[in-house]
Amino acid sequence: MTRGLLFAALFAPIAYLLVSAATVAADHGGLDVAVLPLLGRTIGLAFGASGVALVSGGVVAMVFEARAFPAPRIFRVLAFAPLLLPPVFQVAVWERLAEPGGLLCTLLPFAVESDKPFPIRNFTSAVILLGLNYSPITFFFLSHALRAIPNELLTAARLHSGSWLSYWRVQLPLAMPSFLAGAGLTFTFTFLSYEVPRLLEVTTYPVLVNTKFEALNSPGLAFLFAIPCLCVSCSVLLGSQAWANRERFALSGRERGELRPDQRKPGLVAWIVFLLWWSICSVLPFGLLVTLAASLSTFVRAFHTDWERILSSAFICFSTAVVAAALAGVALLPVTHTRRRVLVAVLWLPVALPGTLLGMALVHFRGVIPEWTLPVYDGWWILVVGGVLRFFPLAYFALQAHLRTIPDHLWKAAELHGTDRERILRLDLPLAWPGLVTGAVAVGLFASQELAATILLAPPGHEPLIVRIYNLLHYDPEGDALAALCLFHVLSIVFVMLIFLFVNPWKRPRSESVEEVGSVSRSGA
Amino acid sequence: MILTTLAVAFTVVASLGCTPSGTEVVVYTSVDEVFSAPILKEFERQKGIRVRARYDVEADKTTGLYHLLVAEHQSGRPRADVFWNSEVSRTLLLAEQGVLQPYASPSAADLPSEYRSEGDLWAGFGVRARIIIYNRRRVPEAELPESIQDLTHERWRDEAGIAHPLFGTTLTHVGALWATLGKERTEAYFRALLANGVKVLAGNSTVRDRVASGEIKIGLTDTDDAVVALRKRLPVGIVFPDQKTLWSGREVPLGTFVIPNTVSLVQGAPNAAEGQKLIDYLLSRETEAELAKSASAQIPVRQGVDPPEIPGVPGDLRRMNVSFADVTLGVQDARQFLEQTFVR
Repeated sequence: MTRGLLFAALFAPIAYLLVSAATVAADHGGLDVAVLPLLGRTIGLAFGASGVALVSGGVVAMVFEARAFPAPRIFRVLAFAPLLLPPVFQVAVWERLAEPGGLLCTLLPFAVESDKPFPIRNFTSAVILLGLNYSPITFFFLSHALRAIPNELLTAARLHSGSWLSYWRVQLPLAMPSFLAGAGLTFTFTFLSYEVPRLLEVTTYPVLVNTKFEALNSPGLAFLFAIPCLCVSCSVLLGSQAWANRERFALSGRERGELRPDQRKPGLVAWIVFLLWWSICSVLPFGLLVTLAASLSTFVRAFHTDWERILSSAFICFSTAVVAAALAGVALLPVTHTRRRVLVAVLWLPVALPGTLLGMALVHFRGVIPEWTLPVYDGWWILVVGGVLRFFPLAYFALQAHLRTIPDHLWKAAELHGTDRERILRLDLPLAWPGLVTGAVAVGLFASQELAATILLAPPGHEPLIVRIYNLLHYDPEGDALAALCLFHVLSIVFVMLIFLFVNPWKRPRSESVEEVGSVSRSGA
Repeated sequence: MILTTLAVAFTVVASLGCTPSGTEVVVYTSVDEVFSAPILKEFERQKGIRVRARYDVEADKTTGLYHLLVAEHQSGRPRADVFWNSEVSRTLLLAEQGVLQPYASPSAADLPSEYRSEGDLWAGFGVRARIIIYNRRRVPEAELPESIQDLTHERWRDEAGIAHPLFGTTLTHVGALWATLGKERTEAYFRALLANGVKVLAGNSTVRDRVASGEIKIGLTDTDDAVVALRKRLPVGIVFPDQKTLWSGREVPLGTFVIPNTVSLVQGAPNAAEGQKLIDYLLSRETEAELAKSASAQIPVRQGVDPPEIPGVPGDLRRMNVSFADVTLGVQDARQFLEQTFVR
């Protein structure tokens, strides 16, 4: 019953879109074939960008995990840096690099006309920029999967077929589900990306949805128009999830602590590969950010004028992550041995939709919800609601995947304890904690970067930091305030992520918790 | 202990999400935030009324707020008290749909009659001009365009830019051309622009930035955007178009199109009294002078208010002779053509 209500509430805006679409469908007929070339082009862009992400992030992950880099945990965390920056800022970075006399013009003078900037407003640049921006996702997924392979298995594989063959025949196939899950997410995010292609003047399907919607103001028509987009992203997400589920993929837990038997110190090539990727994706944008902001006074000024937005950025990130993870917990805990049937395709819908549509549905939803709920629309909470509605599936599937990694006999034993509150607190939550945290971190990260829905939902007097940053791209030609606020945006997300990573009320060695599960289950029985 | 700390931290952070109570006014404005925010802050300081502003992003200029106001009106749950529009046509459309309510502001008494609506549904002040911005490094003085027609010339192939014509002041400009030149010639003009490889950009400030960086040579934008670039000493210049050049079939030059800010009270405004105070403040002579002095360089419509310093303004600036009602009709009539031509 509780779960039914939860899913009904989570999918109410999408149901509203469906109803609106059904009412206008009769008047507007079927799919306009004229948009198919654009859809194909957008798929091409997403494929290209995913390819760039897979090649760059994937190769770096392979190199990184094959060698014993110093302080690997710190490097892995730093590899996430590009995802913390608002994607629009990445465009601003490449615009600066492309200026006449800038780095790109100096390195590639043959591609530039005199007094003109390096041509970055094209399809190829969009592919490269989006690919590099999302490459940390593929890096993280593959790197995690490689670390999760047990050492005994690696040793056995090496004894049988040597170093390289074991890599191709054993390690990569084992890591493939995780790799594909990462590729599926990368494809979806690049396919649905709205602001980066728009700033680079590349018309994609989501850009057209946005323009058409803003021009027509009809959520039903916009949803109808977005259906091909929805089909593509849903298919990719479902496909990669089906593969990943088959191999019991999970992003949390199961990592071995010790080095691999064949891990040696990184050589020159390994360092070059890693540092080149890291420089392009992280050092370059963050370096430019610091250069643009130039002085401490810029940061002080930015904090003085925008402190409320900066705090709100942390609030939205934190609250969205907590609420989404909590709801995922409500939906999946306590774990029962009987499998719950959920229509997975429906669950992915919010992520597979262009953000504009969800924002649009919520804006119109305000006209039909009960009067007492209206105050939610007048504060930061509506942005939390928007973020939860859009990214809840990430928390749900992260937790679900983690729960699959816990041996069945533990859950069976736990079931003997009943389904009371004590069991949830003492058994389920400690076991589910890594999955909850992984989901929360993912939701917080992506919700704090969501722009299209946020623009529509931001209540009067509550302009979020991400929208402010987007506006400053247009209104701050010098870019100093923009850079300072981008840094504050990054710091606010990092602050929230650190809370999640370091606060664990059930912190204890894994083995102990498993033993406790057994003992509590026995006592319950 | 940790859980308690987390709960306390969450409560503190969550309080950020609540809206403080007290006297307040909600304003929706499509005027660039950098220009409107200082004016609203000053109102807050002077009157002690908290202003909750909803700004438009550059890419959806005016159209986004227009649709939001209509949606809120249709649902019977308006949230805005005041609509401060950076142009006029959407205000007139909102008036037609009953989204606005009359308010005869005493501050509007000394405004010229063409800037006041008949039923006191809106009032206009501080105009901006639609001008051609060019890159001084890439365009020699001898080749400067004189008319917006020039953007269709071969010389500017792939080198000119405009903001998306479905949004903001560019849409209003289309409406003005539609009303002045007629359907066929306006359509032909925009088709010629596209055939000449004109870049359709996210907003007027984007046009300015592309011209300033040298990516394109010229573009159509508003004076406020151009003046920002001039004050930052970027390599741009501006031309007030259609002062001398004749369009075929016309006996007098078309003139430069100027667009006023408009301000209006929203029907069913939750804080109507505070909204009226804000309207009085925005329409005051002092605010108009402030807008003229500010970086937005808005040209006052009242006599006796010092105009801004904008280089290149002709002493006897010829303005496009078109009524706002006709512009609004033009905007409505042009919509289908614009959607078919530019939403693809």
